[in-house]
Amino acid sequence: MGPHSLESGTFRKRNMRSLQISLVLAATITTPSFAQRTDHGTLKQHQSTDEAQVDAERSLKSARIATESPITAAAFSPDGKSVVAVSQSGLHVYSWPALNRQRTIKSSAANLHCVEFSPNGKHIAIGGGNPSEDGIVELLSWPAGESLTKFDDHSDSVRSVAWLNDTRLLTASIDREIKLWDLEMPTNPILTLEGHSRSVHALCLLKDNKTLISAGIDQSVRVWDFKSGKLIRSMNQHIKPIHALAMRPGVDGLPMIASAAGDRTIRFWQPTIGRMVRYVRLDAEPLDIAWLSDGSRIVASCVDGRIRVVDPDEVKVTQTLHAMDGWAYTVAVHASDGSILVGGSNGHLGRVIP
Amino acid sequence: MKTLLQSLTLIVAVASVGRAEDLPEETVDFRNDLIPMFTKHGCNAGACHGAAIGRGGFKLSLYGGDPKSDFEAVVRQMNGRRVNLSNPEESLILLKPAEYVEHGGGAVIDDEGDSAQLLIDWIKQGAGNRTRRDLSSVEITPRKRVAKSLGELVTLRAVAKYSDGTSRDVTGWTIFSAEDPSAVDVDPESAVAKVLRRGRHIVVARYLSKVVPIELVVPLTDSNVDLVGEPRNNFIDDEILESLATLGMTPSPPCDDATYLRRVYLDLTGRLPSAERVNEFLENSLPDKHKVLVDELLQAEEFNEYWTLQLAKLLRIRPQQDDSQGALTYHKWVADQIKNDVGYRQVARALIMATGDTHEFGPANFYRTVSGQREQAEFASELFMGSRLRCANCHNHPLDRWTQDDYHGLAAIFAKVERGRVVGEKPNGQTIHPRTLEPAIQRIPGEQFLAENATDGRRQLADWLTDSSNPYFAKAIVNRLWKRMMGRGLVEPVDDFRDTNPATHPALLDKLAADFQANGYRLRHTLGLIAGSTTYARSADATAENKDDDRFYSHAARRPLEAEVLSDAISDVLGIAAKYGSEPDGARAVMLVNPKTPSPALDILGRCGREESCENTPGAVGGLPQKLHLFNGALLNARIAAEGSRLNQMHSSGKRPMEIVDAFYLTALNRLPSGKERKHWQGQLAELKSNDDQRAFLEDFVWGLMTCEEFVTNH
Amino acid sequence: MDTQKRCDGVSRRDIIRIGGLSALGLGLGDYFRLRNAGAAEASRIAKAKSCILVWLDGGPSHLETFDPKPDAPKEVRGPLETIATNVEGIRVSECLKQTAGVMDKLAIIRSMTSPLGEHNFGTHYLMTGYKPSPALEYPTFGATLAHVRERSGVLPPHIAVPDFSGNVSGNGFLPSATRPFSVGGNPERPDFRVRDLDFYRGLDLTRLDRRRKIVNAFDEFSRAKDASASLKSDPDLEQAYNLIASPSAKDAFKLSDEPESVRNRYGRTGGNSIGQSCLLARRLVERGVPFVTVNSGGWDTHQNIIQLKRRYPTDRNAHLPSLDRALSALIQDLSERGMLDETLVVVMGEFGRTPKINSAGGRDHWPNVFNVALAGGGVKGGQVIGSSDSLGELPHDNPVTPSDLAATIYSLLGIDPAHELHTSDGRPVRVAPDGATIISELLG
Repeated sequence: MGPHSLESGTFRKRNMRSLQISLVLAATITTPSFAQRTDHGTLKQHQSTDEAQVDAERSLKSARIATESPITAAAFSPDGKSVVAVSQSGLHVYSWPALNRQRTIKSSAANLHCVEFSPNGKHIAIGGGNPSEDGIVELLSWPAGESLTKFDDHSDSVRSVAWLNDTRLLTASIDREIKLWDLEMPTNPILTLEGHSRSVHALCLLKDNKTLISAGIDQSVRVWDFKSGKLIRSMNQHIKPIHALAMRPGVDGLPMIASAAGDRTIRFWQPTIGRMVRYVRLDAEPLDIAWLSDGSRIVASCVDGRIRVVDPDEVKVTQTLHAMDGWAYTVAVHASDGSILVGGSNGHLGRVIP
Repeated sequence: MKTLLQSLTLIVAVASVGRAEDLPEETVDFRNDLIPMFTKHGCNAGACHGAAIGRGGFKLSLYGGDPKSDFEAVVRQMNGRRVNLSNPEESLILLKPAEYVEHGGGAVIDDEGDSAQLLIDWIKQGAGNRTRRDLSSVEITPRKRVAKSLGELVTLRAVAKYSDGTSRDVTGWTIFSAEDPSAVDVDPESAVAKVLRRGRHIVVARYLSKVVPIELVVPLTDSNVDLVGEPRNNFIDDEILESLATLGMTPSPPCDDATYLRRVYLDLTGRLPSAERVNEFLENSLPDKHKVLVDELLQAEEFNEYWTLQLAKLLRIRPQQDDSQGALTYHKWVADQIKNDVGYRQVARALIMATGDTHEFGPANFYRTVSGQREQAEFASELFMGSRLRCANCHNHPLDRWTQDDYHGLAAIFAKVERGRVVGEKPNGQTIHPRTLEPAIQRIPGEQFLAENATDGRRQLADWLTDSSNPYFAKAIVNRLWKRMMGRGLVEPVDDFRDTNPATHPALLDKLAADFQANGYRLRHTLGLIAGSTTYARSADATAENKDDDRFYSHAARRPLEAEVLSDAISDVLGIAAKYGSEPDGARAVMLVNPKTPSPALDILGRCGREESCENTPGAVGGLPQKLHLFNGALLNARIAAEGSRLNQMHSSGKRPMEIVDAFYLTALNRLPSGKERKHWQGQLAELKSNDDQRAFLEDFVWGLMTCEEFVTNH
Repeated sequence: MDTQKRCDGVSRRDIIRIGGLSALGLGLGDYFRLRNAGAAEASRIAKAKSCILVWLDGGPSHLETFDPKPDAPKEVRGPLETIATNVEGIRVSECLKQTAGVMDKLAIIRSMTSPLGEHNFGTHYLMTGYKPSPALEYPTFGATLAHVRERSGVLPPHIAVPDFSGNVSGNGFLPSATRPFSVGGNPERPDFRVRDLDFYRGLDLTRLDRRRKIVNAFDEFSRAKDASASLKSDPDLEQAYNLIASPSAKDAFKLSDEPESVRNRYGRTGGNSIGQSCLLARRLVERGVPFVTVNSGGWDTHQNIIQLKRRYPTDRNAHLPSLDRALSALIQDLSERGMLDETLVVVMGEFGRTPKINSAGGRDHWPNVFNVALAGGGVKGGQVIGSSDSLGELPHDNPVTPSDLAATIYSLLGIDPAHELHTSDGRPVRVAPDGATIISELLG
């Protein structure tokens, strides 16, 4: 906890906060008589033991509705047999397809927003941060789950991470910046791309090793040459914040990407020539998108808990399936069995077979 | 074992839901607990997150008007990062207002206070959106208090009543704001109000979307004012006198006959009474001569002309760019409605439902008054409901009940009207709702949506508006009629009815509206009622006690004449009519259809162009440029002594100076000069020996007469 | 939980009570110093005898004038470039070339902030220092000055060239005599005259004098029994008479008396006659008029912001170049005549404009941050006060409200912001709102 400065106006009290919380909890646990103070409470002192217990349980039940933080991102392991998912409680590992939770690895970041395996499958990068304070990407080993490095230069949460190759990755943050990192040099980014006027939520890399696509709240899809650090173009057809980007696999010729935004559209672009090819309108806001491995369809998970399967060439929705209650923040498609992983509110993680 | 289990369970329960004394019987309710908390702290005010664009990327609905979207903003958006379900105290929704992290709004809540605890408890309970009960109403007490003396403390209370029959005190979550903070001080912690200045003051209580005005009165004098003996003719007088008694204000005496005559002539016909009329009225000794006069004027042709003008201004009748025929047809139609005493309800229905060729069918021009369906929604609501929906364009109206759905829903109804030379149906017409980005669904404001494919939106609107139970329609028009006659609306501005802008005499407004409805919505009826009250007939001379009153009718108001009326009056007195565009000689300004008819006179006198509401053009207000013109310009100078003028003719027919003075008094001020006045003018004339000098003086005299306050105002 | 204490020992509760200092960007030291400034400050700093308010009606874009953002993304930056000024470190819009040459005399406040984004509300707030209220309409600076200062001379103390914004009455609750006198007409026209200053044929001053005495007599008689009447005669009539009676006062309006070179320097056309209006303002101020408002309309650029620079390829008279000519000429002219120290010049509108260019190529209303330029009258030139953030969206530091600006303008004109005016029913109203603080950086 460094000295506070009025002029800078930044208050970093979280460490103090955590200390206080532990103190309170300690106090609560070590003084059972505390629980019996009933001046203001609804527990009546003269209640019988059974009644009190039932009452407490009922209070507990009625009090709790959703206790789990939402799953904000999920990914299949390279061998397709596990799933990793992140939330405010950390990184969780599940078996596939049973989706049994096997373990949870805590993170120092309060919020986690993205998780990506490295191309060689040996590392996992999880991105997140302490809201309004910093943005962190943690590098873990896979499958051991050991924490290896931390990249910590953003001033607000990291929303998206993309691996360039096994030793370099890119991060996009709510602080409006995109940074390029080398694993060997975790303290300083190699490059920072500035230009977005609002939070950046999504990244997408083309196979040419130099083109990066980014998008976020400012509604623009930006195409960068990250080798030179220059913005090549900005495409502005969306009229609400953009949540996700995904590159279409199996395309010969001009690369194609898809974007999903709050204006309830999914738009298909050819970023190297700056063209919006076509778009489809959904009847619910899409939060995340993922292509089938042959690029023939794209799946969107939406705020109504449904997923929609879209034909990108005919631009129509071919299937709408109920996946969960609440918002479906993340969707992934299994590379071989083609089934769909959906994660979202209330810690939900589920499998949908189209 | 059981005891241990019990203790452990309790402890777990405590750890998860908060301190034992706060262990809630109910869960923390987002809608009923948190949103009032956001409102109380100003989080969702227009200056902060309630702004149309939100703040810092976080948008709440203005004053909690949309709990559903607020829930999504707080719990769901941005990957749910604002609420940390795994570590509640890490939630951004707490860190920011308690200023643990940088917050543009500063430290809004105390980290140890109730608000912070509410947030934490709610998050610990899972940050849910379940509402056990819906808010039905908020009971604010007192609604009205007449304090005995200044400095008396009034405790304000707010009790929320819910759909399940329960209720609770929500005073701590209610915002009480005095309309005039220098007159009333309200302590935000204790909700105790103190009146600092005598008079009647409004404090507005806001809890969630419920807005309730509180009237606090401290009479102007400490002694009791008894007005039981004051003369009264109808319920208007009962209501007015009651409020004056409460305020401790004594009214001025009634005005004299000559004043009454001039006043009612101007108000009902826009003209000055002739000299003959004045003499006859003054000599008449019948006890009901006022009533007879009013009845006669209500049936006069001049009434029709003048009140056609009033309605034309209300409807903003004016020619379109290259098309003046429509305005003429429209004007003629309005004139017919007035002449035939058609009920206002019928007039409104005809306007709303109009279709046809605007050159042939007058009411169709209603749809050419403004351009665009949104403008039409604004115009229609201000005209027929006396309500400004326009703020609800971008967000739910901050001071009133209107929502974006209401605004765009009304616009959607008008979107189905084909506007142009021929007005007709446009079944596919639509307007995009800025929040949903979809076509807005047609909606009766504040009531309900219409069926999706409804094609009779206008008829449904007209039915609702003119239904006897509609709370706005009758009040809006009688308030305007009242303003025309009394100088100020019971609600001001007249197109700004809202919960936070209560009438000065709510009971009177209700009664006037009910009476209007019960009498076929006939303008003549209500105008006659007002003209027959003792309130209307009060003198404009204020007494020492009531001279600061500008809204309780203790004395009559002096009102500047409208430009058209004044111009006609000047023409009448001077004996030479002003020229209006290419209208025939002798045309009266009150009869002009086109408000832009070329006329330097009307320009100088400040006429309303009708592109916007004419409520704000008080008429010939004065000001330096106008006075310069009166001195040196042609308006008066060209006509005072010109050939054919009254003055000239009187000279020619050999009238003596004091005869001329008397004659002009009668014609312009509609009375004879008093003894003092006569002596004054005689004295002035006596100093001038030659004929020429006297003639020059009389010109100056006439000029002064046309410029003085008594002439240019209705008093 | 323990009370949070800052490192300087002040507890959170104190901060909450004092009211969100961090939002003001102030340390406690600044706060207490400014609170005590008040009346003593006002009398000390009063330098200006007169004020010329150049009112840019409609809400001039801060990004296209005094607070450009060359490093922001294109959709924020807009189509204009920036240029350096004669003060190092200050850059302005490319269209303000000549003004850039007198930047050493100008102070720019870049962190103005207001919540009111509608024309009428914003205009009221900026012109009076008070947010509009249903209870009362407040008087503008000129009306207050006209009311408070001793009347000297015959020219109306509060003049508007060529007309006055329709969004406020001008005098608020003060007597109508303080309402601005609009000269009317178009100062650019060769035949520009203020109407009705010359006698109607056959009349002379003696007749006019008698006429006004007759009106006074009528008014006195009619109000003899009215307790609410004031004894003074119709002030507008008196003022009109006095103006007509004074040849020198009438001459004040004769723009044709100015040499061509001067008229050209201010600009003969463009910006809705802003050039000639500023010249007329200088003439009036020279003759002792305390407050002149120059009204330049057309700044409400919801579409095609490039039109501020030019409307067609060879256009030299678009609003920005016209403003540039007029403002720089005014400042230099005042300076050359030795009048700048005593004449406060204020350039502003009712709000700024949206940082992101809209789909029509323009910008919409944006009160959250905007700028005001001041010169003369005791203002320390060559500086920028406060700043907006990198996108021109919100104040970055030192936010200044229109109330603060009002308190400062009044102080510079020698009126204590705490001075009380009275409404017609005797209610006391401060000239500037309670809590408004003088912008100390502006003072020399």
